[in-house]
Amino acid sequence: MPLLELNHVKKAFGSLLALEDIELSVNKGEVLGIVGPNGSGKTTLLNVISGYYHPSGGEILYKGRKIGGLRPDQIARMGIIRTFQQNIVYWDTVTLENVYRTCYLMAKTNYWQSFFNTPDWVKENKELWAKASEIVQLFGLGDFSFSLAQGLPHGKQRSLGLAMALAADPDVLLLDEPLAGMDASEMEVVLGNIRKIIERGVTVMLVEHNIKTVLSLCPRIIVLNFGHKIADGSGQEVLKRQDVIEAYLGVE
Amino acid sequence: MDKAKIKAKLPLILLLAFITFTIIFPLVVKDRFLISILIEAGVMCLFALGFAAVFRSGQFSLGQAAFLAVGGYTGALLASKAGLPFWLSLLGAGLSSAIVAFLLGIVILRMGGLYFSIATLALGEIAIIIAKNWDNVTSGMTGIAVNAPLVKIGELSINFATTKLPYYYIILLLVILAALMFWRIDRSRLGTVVRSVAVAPVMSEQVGIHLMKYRVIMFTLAAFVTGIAGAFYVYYLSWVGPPLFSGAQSTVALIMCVIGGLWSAVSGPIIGAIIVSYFGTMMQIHLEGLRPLVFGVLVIVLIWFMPNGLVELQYRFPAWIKSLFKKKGKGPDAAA
Amino acid sequence: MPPAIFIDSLVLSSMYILMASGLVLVFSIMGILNFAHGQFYMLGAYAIFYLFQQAGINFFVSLALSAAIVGFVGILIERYIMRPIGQPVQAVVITIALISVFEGLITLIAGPAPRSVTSAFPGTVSIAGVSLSSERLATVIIAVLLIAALYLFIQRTRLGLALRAAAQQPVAAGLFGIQVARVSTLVMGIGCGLAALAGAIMAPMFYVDPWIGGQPLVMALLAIVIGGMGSLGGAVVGGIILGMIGSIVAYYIGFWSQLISFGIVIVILLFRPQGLFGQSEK
Repeated sequence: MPLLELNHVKKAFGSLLALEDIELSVNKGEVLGIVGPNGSGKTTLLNVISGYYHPSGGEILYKGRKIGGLRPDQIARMGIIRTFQQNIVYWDTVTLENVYRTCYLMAKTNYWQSFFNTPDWVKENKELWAKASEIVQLFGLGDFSFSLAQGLPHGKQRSLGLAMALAADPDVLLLDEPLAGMDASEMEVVLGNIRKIIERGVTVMLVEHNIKTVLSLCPRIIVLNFGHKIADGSGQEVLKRQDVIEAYLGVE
Repeated sequence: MDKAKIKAKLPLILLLAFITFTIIFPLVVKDRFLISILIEAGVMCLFALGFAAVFRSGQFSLGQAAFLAVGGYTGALLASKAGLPFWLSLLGAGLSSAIVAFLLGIVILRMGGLYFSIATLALGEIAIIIAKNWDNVTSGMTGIAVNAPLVKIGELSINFATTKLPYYYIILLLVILAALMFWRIDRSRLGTVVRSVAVAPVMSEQVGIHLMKYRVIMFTLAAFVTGIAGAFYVYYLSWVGPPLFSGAQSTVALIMCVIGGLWSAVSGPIIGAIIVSYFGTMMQIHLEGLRPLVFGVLVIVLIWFMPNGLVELQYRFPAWIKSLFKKKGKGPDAAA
Repeated sequence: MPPAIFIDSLVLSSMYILMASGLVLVFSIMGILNFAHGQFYMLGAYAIFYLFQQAGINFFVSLALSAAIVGFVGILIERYIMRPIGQPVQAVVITIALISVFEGLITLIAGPAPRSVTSAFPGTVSIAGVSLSSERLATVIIAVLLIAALYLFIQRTRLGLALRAAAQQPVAAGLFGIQVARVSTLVMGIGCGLAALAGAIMAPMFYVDPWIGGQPLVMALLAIVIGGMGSLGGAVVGGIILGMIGSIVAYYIGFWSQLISFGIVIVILLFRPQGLFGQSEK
């Protein structure tokens, strides 16, 4: 059974159709690239899957359950985590604590235990900090553990965003233009981090503009144009197609 | 090693010393007036703690005075009409405030920070209007008189009518309990989650945190504490009526927290409340109307010169986290 | 429904419309809600007290002077107190603190005791066999004239056009030669002046003390929430709705009408968070 299924999904804002009749099936462990000209609905697609928008039509099935109409936090708890185009971090504290806070889903003890500082909670809290530290190290942010998250350079902040997403223990990770605004060296780092996430078996759906990156990372690509899915297949197949080329040329 | 241990325990030692001081204080200093100021300061401490709790979850509640009123009137009614004993009245007052807050909260907390603040502002005004006009229940402007309670602890019976001293100890107890509760919450996982909700709600939602749940929890808890404060205050004055709950009170809570330190959950509000209460009452004696003016100007000046009260926190937090980590010995430098 | 109640609803509506419009204008300049807006209402009432009641200056001249003085105070506040502050949270806290500052200042200068302003239009007037209070009638007429003047100014004059442009697109407006800073100052003055006018014309009907600014503020906030934050037209509609509830509904069920006003605001916010005329953010 596919992990994530979109059947005839539609999203309308008033009379504007942002997404129309989207059919998509994603299996566990896949790495999927989502490309298309500006305004084609890529981010809307992510928003609809992650729960920020409710679909105007069609259904979204995750692990067999309908998730259209659920709150974003409910969907996150089921295992779908996303990142944001403009990186959002906890500006009031340091890098390490940022990741610690997003380990929210990993905590099993309840609030009463935490309130009374029971041994179970103390033990679990140590584990959470350790886990946060491990992830911070994994993404190459070890030296920045105690720097204010807000002050991190752009590339590092993006890696932090990835770290925070991974800390939420995702089955599916939706990445919204993770490479935007990066120079070549920063891009390498972030790409490396994304690869580490993929290595952990997380199913990844990646929205990106940079075709080269998408090709190198994603065995499968879907192309959106004006809210329609116009292509779905391997990079080679998709980019040879006439309508895909036209969609891009028409904008450039 | 010993020096370090003492240094670590220093805040705790200071705190215990301070509490001991507050306990002994009225027995030594017989100034009744001072004690009455401190009792009022205690009520304001609870009030400020409530405001701070809601603020920690990311919202400005500009109508907390409404819950003082709900608690005050409920307490008065429970005491005078239903004849409930002191502690039960307080509890009932807290519960009724909490229930009102819960029901209102699940609606108005959805609306986003600015609208929520406006709604609470409106609530504050409405509470006063209801207090003034709902004659059947609140007796309008005449208010409700409450008899001084007679509390029996074992064989000791304390008659509150003769001296105000018991009130001092009760409010001290209440403040300590409330402070303890909010402090523990702040340090526990609940506090971490609430802070996440306040600082970056969109991100927190994305990692599975249900925003509304935590906002409602803090709002309700704040109302519970504020309600008890209101009921206590009514017992202390032996009367409840509309003039007690002026509209400006909620802004006073904000001022207290700003003066004490916006970014702390417990010590800030308490310090701020005591300072504001004490100097406020002092000033009011000498020149009515000076207090709001001075405090308003003070807040403005404070914000001008320290627009990011946060700045202090930025430097304290990393050090705190480092110390936390090193204690556990699992830091990067702990391994061989 | 007695005609007097209808007139009352018009009076209340006018007051709310003036307050709410002023608040919308100020909001468009400051970018945040000015919680001290109610204080300008109070200042306007005191201005009328000192100019008209105490000094005996002609009522209409006093009105104009009140608006001008308070408008000027508003401009000073915006320029010297509000502008240096960058972040909205801090700015809002300052406006809240300003409430205390004004209340305290006035208490110090004028004392806490309530004052009254005798009406410039005493007695009653008979219209179509119905006896109406002249004061209330005059208030409504003056308010309607002011609102109409405001509308004409914004919609029909070049300055009004510049105003709208500057509010919506300050950068573009600057490029077109509109002096945004000057226009902003003017708008701020008008916004606060409107609040003062509301206070001044209502003063003879109620008493004047340092704390009368609280309720008009809340009603103005509710009105613009109903109507939509950035919309002047919405402010008018919101003011009318609240005015109707506050008087007509109040006539039938008393003070619970306040709760109904509040309830309506909540319902509107739940189903149409941008207000009736506001622009949707998503």
